[in-house]
Amino acid sequence: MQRDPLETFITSNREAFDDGIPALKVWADIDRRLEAPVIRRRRRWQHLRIAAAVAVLLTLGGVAGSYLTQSQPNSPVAVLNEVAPEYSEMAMYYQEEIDRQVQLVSNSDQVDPDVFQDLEQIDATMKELQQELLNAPRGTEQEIVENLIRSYQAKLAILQRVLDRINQTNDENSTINEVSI
Amino acid sequence: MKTIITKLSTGQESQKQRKTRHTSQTRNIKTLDYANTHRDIVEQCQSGDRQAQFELYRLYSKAMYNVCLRMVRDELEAEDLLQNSFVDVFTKLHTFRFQSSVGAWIKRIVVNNCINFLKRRKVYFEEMDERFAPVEEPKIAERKAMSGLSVDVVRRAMYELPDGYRVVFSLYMLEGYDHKEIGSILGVTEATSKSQYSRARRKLREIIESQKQVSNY
Repeated sequence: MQRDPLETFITSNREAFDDGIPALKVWADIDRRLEAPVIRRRRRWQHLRIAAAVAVLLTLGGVAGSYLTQSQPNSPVAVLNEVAPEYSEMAMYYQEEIDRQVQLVSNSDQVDPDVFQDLEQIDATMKELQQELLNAPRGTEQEIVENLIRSYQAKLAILQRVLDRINQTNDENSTINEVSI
Repeated sequence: MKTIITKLSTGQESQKQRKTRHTSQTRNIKTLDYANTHRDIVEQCQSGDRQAQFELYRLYSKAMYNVCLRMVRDELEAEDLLQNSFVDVFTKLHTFRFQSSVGAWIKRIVVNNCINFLKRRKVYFEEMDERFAPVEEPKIAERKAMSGLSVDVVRRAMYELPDGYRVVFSLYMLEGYDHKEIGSILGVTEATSKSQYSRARRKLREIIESQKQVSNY
């Protein structure tokens, strides 16, 4: 049978029938729609991961908590002895120096009462640090110990400054007295 | 014969392919080639590579857009169908097993989406049998009238065909499906597809002829 001329024409020009071009936004929409389920899936996985992480942390926390409770006596001094054995010796040295200087300062009538307030404030901070030491996560104790030592040094520095001023005043007074004699 | 070629087609059968499709040896070679066409890209797409997905879209979007356009005759609707179809393609690509070309697989998704769209618009493919006279072979005068055709004239005439005719004509003449496949796609018998096609072709000739007469005035 002779082929229909219409069919022949279409077959011969098949490519030319596909000249329509889709808008660029079609891919953008496809891309957006493909992204959505991926995000949902990822979020679902993220939730699972978070849940798993929380479960692991809770377990570790429980284990670590029981370990710490058992292994660490509930007192700052005991904790300090464990995490920084040298601390107690240093603390003793600083405390003796502070006590000595406080004694010297107390004997003077030229001391500003604010100095003792400053010293009390440092004492309060040191108590907080010692309390913090009981609850500190492992690995952070050393930092707290360093803060405690700095607190001792700060107290000594204040007292030393006060004493220097007292001594300076005393020197000046003696000079005046000498001159006056 | 046409079934195999269609399944192996990369979305659009070239003229050269049509000429050689009756050679079984060639067909076997094509089976191998077509089934493996863009295999790397497809495998990358299956692993969710967005760049590969864009590449696959770039390769087939134009041909598939024109399939949609012929089916629904509306650019915006065609773009929506193209978008939905490619989302389906990428969502279902993990089920693709390289038993046919990826182009044929994509085209089938596109065509099915278009048919579903038309069915929602109450286009029925079976009822047309009763509405038109039996098909006759074109007379010599009609054959002569078909000379001096242009793509634009044929396309405009196709757009004027009733939906059912246009779909069957497009599926057979432009998308490369045989009547058995068209019957399967549309849910009608092979015989219905054949008769619908014959009537659609006749109707198309009439439209072209009337268009010529109008333009001659």
